Amino acid sequence: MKREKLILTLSWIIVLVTLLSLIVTLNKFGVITGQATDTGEANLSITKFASIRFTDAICDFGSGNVDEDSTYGWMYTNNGSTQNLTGLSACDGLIYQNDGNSEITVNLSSDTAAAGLLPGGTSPAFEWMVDDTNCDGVAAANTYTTISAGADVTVCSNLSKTSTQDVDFYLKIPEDAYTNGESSAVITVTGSAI
Amino acid sequence: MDNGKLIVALLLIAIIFSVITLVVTMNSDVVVTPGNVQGETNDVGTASVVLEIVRNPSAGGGA
Repeated sequence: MKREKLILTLSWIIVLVTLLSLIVTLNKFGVITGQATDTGEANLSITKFASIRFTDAICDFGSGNVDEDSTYGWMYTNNGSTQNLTGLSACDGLIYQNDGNSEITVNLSSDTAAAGLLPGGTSPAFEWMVDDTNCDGVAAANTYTTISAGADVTVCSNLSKTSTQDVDFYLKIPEDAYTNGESSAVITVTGSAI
Repeated sequence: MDNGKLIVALLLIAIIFSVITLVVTMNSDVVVTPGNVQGETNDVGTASVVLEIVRNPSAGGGA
């Protein structure tokens, strides 16, 4: 009988403790009607940013000239072919990558056109072509297009994160072109977060 | 009511209180809102195309 009373007493204690626990919990979370309530919010902001970089930033054709019995020499960087040239060789083109946290539109520009890169020559050509593997609907996609100095051309409207694009060049070098030292064109790629 | 039934009833009440406490606790999580997308920026990279064309030995009709 004494044992039964002890169990009964413990049961009452358990009920009181759990009731107290319930009241404290309800009070703390403001569930009881009439209690002042408040809410907290953890807010996380991640800024969308565009980041683009050339992973292959130099296209060096070297030094040389058009073969003496030819009017023009040619180079194509997409397949590395050259014709009627001595000393000069096709580079691998350029590669840029979207290394930001957003899809981007991509614009390309060059500070120099054919006449500037290949001075003194008759009817030179300086053209580029963008690989559209990672971007549909691009300008200059898989077709060589004449470069105009300073013109900003949208070459990809939606380049996904981590994706790359190749830029290849075609040069038509007249036999009478002469650079009097190194000649260069600065190619600028601009990525804008979508 | 004998003590045995009273004990069972009290323990059931304790269980119910505990369950309610658990449910209230689980439903009172802090809310984390999705991240706000702020700011759209541009980034620029540059590269160079370089070559040098030297004099063609036949240029200028040197022969």
